[in-house]
Amino acid sequence: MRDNEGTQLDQQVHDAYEGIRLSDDAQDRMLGQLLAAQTQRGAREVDGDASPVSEEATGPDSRVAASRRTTPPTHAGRRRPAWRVVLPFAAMLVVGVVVVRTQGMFSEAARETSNSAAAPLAVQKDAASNDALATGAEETEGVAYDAGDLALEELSVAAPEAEAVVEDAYEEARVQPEWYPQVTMADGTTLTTCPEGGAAQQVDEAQVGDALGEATAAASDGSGETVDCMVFALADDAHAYAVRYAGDERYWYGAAL
Amino acid sequence: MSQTCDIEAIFRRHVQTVYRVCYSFMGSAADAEDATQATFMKLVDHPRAFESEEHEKAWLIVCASNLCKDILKSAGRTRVTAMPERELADPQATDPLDTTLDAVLRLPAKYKDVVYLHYYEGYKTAEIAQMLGENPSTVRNRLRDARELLRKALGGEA
Repeated sequence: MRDNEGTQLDQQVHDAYEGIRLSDDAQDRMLGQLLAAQTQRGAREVDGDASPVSEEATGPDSRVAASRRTTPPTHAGRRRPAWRVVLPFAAMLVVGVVVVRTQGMFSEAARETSNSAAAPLAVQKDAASNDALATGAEETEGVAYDAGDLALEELSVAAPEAEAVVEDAYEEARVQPEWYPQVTMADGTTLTTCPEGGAAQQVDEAQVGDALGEATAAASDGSGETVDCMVFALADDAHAYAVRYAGDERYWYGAAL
Repeated sequence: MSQTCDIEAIFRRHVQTVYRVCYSFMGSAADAEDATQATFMKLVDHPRAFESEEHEKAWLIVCASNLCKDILKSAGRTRVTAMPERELADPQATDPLDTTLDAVLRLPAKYKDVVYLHYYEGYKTAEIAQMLGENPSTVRNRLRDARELLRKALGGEA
C-alpha cells in the first residue's frame, strides 16, 4: 500500500515537472538574444578586445574554461594587486645586484689572496675563495628571502639561469595556496587548503570531479584580500574537495572547516 | 565530442530542462526565463567542450540550480514569499497536477535540485551526490525529507 502511494507520488511529481514548459515564442526570443550576444562576443575577440566578462556572467568552472582559453593564465580571472606584479621585477633586480656583488667579492678575495705572501699561496687562496663564496651565498639568500619570502634558491647562478629562477619566483608569486588558505563557497561552506596550518597538498587532476561552484579565498595575513577560486568534488574519502585558484592550473586538497 | 561554439544546438537540446530547473526554484515564468537565459549566457561567455550530451545536461542543470540559489540568496527572497500569487494555485484547485506542482514549488530550495534530478531526470542517489558535490547520505536524507513534505502538502492523497 505504502509502495503504491510512493509510486503514485513519484509519478505525480514527474508529471508536474512535465507540465512546466517554455513557450516556443520565449524560446525563439531567448535564442535570438543568445546568438546576438555570441556574435557581439566574437566581434570583440576579433577586435582584440577580449575583455573579461562581467561578474554576473561567470559560472561553475567558467574560470577553468577561461584559464584554458587565455594564453598566459596569469591574466585570467581577477586582476592581481600591484605588489604582486612589482614583486617579481624587484626580485629580478635583487638577483642581478647579488650576482654582480658575488662576482665582485669573489674577484676581490682572489686578488687579496694573490697579494698575500705570509702563507702558502694555494692554502690561502682556497680559504679566501671559500669564505667569499660562503659569504656571497649567505647574502644572496638573505636578500632574496627578505625581498618577499620567495622560494629563490641557488641565487649565485649566472645571469640567464637567474632569469629562469625569477620566472620560477614569478610562478610562485602567482599562486600560493598558503597565502589564501580559507575558501568560502557561495553557499557559505568554508574550507581550508592548509588544514591545521600545514602546507597545502596538491591533488592529481585525474582525481578531480565536477565543479561545485565558484568561491573566494581569503588571505591568511588578515588583510582582507581575497582571490577567486573554483571548488571541485573529489572522489577521495579523506578529502571532499579540491580547490583551484584563478589563473592557476593546479588543484589543492580542501578540507571542510 | 566538442560543442564549444554551437550554442544554438545546446540551447535547443536542453532549454526545457534548464527552464524546468529554474522554474522549480524561481516559481514564476518571468524569473525562470531570466534565469534560463543567464544560464546559457554563461556558455556564451565561457564556451567550453563537453564530453557528452549527458555531461552537457548535467553541467547545465547544476549551473542553473546554483544560479537560481544565488539569485534567491542575493535578493533575500524566500521560497514562498518570493512567489507571485498568480503562480500559486488556488487552494481549492482540483487539478492534482497543479496541486503537486505547488507542493514542489513550496519545497525549501535545498530540496529542489535533488527532487528534480531524482523524480524528473531519474538520476540515482549516487549520481546526484556526484553532480552536486554532496555525500550520498545527504542526498538520501534530502529526498526522504522532501518526499515527506510533499506527502504532507498533498494531504496524503499521493
